[in-house]
Amino acid sequence: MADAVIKIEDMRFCYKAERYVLDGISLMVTPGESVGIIGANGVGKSTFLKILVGLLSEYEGTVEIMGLSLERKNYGEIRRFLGYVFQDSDSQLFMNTVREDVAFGPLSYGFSREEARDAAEWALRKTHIEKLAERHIYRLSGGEKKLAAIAGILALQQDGGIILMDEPSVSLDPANRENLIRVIRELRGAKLIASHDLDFIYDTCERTILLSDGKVVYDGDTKKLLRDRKLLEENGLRLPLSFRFMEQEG
Amino acid sequence: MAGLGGAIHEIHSLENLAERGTFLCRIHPLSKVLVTIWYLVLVMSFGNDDISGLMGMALYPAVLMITGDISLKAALKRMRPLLLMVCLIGAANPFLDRRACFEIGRVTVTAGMLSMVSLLLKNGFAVFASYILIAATTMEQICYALRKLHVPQVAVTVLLLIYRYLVLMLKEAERITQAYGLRSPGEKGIRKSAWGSLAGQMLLRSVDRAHMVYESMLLRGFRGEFFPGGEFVPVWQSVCYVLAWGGVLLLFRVVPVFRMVGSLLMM
Repeated sequence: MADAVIKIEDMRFCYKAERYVLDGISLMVTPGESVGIIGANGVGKSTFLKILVGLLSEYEGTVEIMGLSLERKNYGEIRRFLGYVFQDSDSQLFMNTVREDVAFGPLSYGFSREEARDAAEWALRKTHIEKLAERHIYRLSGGEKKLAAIAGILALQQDGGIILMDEPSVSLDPANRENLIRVIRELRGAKLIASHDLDFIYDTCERTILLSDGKVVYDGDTKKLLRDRKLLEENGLRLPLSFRFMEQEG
Repeated sequence: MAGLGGAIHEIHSLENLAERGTFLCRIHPLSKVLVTIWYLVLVMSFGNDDISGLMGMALYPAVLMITGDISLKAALKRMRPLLLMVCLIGAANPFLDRRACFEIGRVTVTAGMLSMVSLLLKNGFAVFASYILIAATTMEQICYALRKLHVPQVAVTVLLLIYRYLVLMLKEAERITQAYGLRSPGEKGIRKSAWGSLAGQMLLRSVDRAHMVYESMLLRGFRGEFFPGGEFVPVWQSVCYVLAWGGVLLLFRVVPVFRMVGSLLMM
């Protein structure tokens, strides 16, 4: 596939000569695709995302992001188009106000003040948090922080990049969760979402990768996977709640 | 609000102060840093016996606190520990240097007393000037100004990270002490046997979170350069601010204004 934004071949990774956490991962992600990454605790979902964004660099195999080989010399250029939403938004947001935080990336990448301001405005609109622009980070709720973190990435990459999200729905109430799903669905760029929340994956991803023992055991249609009780349970997961209710109701 | 929560609240309150949009807040950070440095240099250059000259330097903090709408009461409250330390610094001088200088009524004023008052004023003014700078300028803006003054990137980055990590450490400490308090009813403070593990946990968690913040900065292109957020007054106004204060402060340093006013009154 020539237009893949992420191309991974035989990726392996281990922490300090232990067993491989990721063992021979190969996959491709096309522009605009929304891919869920699921698996039990410790299968390497977060590790996988951290490798893609260059926070872990000692991997084996080949990885190409937007046509660039994933290596230290290309990190700057890759991170221009590939953003990472941390599980803990508190650690991701560090400026005083939402507007300042969202504009941080563009300014760091050499945008002029006007360009950075416009990019921030656009990202705030895209995530529906324009009203929070002047709000202090420490006064935001969990859901608002998550959206501010996404806006910070969008401001830099605009519509054409890749967003990696690590457990985005953790500690969100139903309303914020719904809002986040709406925002994610509206994003045009490619998305890789690692989560335990299978209902969230169902709502946001058309394709899902199931990891187990560092390997890809399923890569395909989300609905098909999430209906496969046997496969999910074999890999330490359970049917999403919505599917269980559907089952119960026959 | 007391304790760690209070400390976090104080830091955020200072950030709020710096973002109020008053004229002083909207002066370019480089101008404010330059004037503060100039003020500190001039204050420290006074001799130990030049109290009347030094008194004139009170003008700067007084004017800025009034025009910048910075509460003196809040400033005194926030700087209590520092001001207490300032008071202690010269406290021994009257006992160490008993040379008589002059008399006021029946009281002999010694060189030690003069140097104590001088130290008190110098350090007090320095603390107030720094407070005013912080109350009118965000940490990012101060770092930006320092970089403009060619302070090494490493030093400025460390300053910013210390500031950010300080908040993180306080938050972690607050969480840990709250968790401890909830499972140790009736205890006042933390028992000795738990101190070691609590401090260790706090350090590990803070380092972990600090690492994540740094990673987040790197991922969004941080290369050690700083950008001042907010809107500033036109450049010419910031330049005028530097020139005006530079001139006035120099005048107060060179000309003993208070002594001259006193002499005029005596005439």
